[in-house]
Amino acid sequence: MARFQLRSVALTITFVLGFLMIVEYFISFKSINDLAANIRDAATVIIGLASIVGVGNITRNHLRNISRRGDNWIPSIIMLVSVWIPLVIGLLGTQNHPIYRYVFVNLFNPVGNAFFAVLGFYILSGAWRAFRVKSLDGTVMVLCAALIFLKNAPVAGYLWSGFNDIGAWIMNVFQAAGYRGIIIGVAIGSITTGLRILLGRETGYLAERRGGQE
Amino acid sequence: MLVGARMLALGLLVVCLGILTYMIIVQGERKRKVYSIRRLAAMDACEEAVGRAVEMGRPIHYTPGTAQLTMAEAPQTIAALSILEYVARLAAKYNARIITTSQYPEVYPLCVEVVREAYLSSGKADQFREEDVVYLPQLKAAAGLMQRERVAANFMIGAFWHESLVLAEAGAAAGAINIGGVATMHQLPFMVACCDYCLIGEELFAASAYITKDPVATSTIVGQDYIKAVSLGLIVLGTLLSTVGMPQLWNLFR
Amino acid sequence: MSSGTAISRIDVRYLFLALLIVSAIPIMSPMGLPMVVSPLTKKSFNFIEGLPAGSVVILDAQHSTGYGPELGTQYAAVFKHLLARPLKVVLVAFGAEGPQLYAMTLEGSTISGPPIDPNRYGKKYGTDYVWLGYIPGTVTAFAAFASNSWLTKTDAAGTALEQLPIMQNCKTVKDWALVVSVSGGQFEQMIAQWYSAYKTPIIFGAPGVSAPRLYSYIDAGQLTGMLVSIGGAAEYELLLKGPALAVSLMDVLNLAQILVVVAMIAGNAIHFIGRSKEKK
Repeated sequence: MARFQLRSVALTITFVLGFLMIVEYFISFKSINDLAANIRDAATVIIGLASIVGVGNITRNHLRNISRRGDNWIPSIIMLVSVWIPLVIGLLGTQNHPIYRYVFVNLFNPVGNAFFAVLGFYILSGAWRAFRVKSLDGTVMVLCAALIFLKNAPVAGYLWSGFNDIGAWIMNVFQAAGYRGIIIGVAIGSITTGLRILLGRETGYLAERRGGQE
Repeated sequence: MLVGARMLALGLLVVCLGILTYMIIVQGERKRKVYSIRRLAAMDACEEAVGRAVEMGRPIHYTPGTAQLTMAEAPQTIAALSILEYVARLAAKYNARIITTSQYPEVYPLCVEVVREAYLSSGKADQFREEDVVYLPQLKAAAGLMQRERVAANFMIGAFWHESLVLAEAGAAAGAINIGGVATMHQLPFMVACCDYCLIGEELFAASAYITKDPVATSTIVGQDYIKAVSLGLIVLGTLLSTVGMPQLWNLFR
Repeated sequence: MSSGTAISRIDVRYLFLALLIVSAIPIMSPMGLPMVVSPLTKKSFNFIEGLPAGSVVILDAQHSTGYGPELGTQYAAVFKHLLARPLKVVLVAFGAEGPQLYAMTLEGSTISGPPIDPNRYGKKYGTDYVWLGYIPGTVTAFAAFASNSWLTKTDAAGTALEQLPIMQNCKTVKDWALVVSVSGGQFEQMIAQWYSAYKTPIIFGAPGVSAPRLYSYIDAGQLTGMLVSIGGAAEYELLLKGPALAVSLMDVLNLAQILVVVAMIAGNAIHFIGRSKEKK
């Protein structure tokens, strides 16, 4: 009975707040707009508090790994130091603190860049492995990919302007048409999922325990 | 009181919601009509992938993407969680180990409960391991996890950004079958190119209906198709009118 | 030997080594390969050039360090252009890393290039430009900032907005002449909140992977202009007649793109040669 009531309360909150936020987008009425703004601010804060769950989970798992001398327990120490030191400095000294700035500019920035740079290598291995002329679809994909890569290499466009023109046509006409169709479909799918959540037909976000039912 | 510039959007939204509500309540719940959905190869391949993992004695990896629940891409995460339930049930049924990774702390407990529920409802509660549901602040770290655990099947279903290519290539390097599903436009090309099977765009939202054959779910998909038909009609009408020198419809949508 | 086996026997790390060499050579010995400015970058540049004096421009740092020079150089180039013109620049960050990136742009960094000193352009803080800091909430922040540009009540340093002359002409989105947002995502949401409702001109600084989906919005007129990846930043630097970090990295981009095309062709060639041998 208690679980049913809790579930009903959760679904009611979802319905009321969800439709309020939709209606608020289309009207200009100060009290409703202000209420919606406050709800958005509250949601932002609540999601921020969820970070505590993340930090707690990481700390618990890696402390456990260290205490058991499990696999890669030394990287676990590095992980915990990397999480907690900037966190404490940022909280106590704000993000303008010299140590926080130093860690951000000289550690976080290069590591972030390196993570993204890895993509270049994976694109290369993907092009080598996956771009195969095995069918008509594959042939079109390989051809378009090659032309777009040459368009994106400015020196190719300098040597023959046709690469720029063909590449621009592929981007502005060929792929844009395909994208438009997929965008419309995805948008409709998102509206549908949102409506199902608001009407209580989709309850995956509740993380409810239904117990063994089968 | 009404924001004039948004009235067209409101009108279109009312039409969409009207169609969907009719399909959900009338066709789905009252008439319990089950519509057939065309074959989704990626969903058919799920059982094959789990079976492969069981035969090879290696785990499965599943990630529901990297979208927060406050983002516009949150419906993709919700759809991914319903597919996670299906894959987790398969894993429980065939006694395969499933490692689930998530990047956001508000999605992590949902993953825990979905996987736990799948094992509970399969009567295999004792096989559920909470430590196999992993929170990773950067999902790219799952690449290392996949290679260490030598996963046999890699499910990447949900909203992704740049990490999709990293995970797909890492899965391929580990010898896993890659099954992807993404509706974020910029990652579609990478997923399609690097995955063995892929749910493209709205197939992600249709997958749950395809698996469960639930009347409400399938009616929703048909409702989406009706809305697409309306959109197509507007596109054709607008194109014809603009071609003959009457761009009023086009200007209206600008 | 089957074609599949032949390819799979080639260690992919040799490819990685090739990319590393191809990337390192132009960094150590710049080649100065020629480049052409694209119409899209020119359109974005010309729009800013054509803004009347005193126009309020919002410059948003919504990218992250992970995008590195791809977006960092775009932000720096546009910032320099805005400072060079008689415009009022309101700097804001809708991304959590924005404050750090703004500071790194001013001080100079490996992702944005040389330092930028507004004083060199004759600009005075509070009168010609202001830094409002980070506004959390993404979509809700877009909407809130549009309806009330005094949302933060103070600038990032804590000075009340009433004391800043520049903010007297920047109260709501109706006072904005242009928004330039350098971002890795949330593009459609920004268009929905700023263009669809208020017809505010928007120029995006976008990573290469996001650009394809934005061409539809440019065709529809919902987006005024766009800088695409580091190439767009390099073209912008050329238009500013001040080549900097982006231009210096274009050699790397050129050679890397060509290497990928070569890899595609080579992979397919090995595949077909192997298949023809199998058939014999």
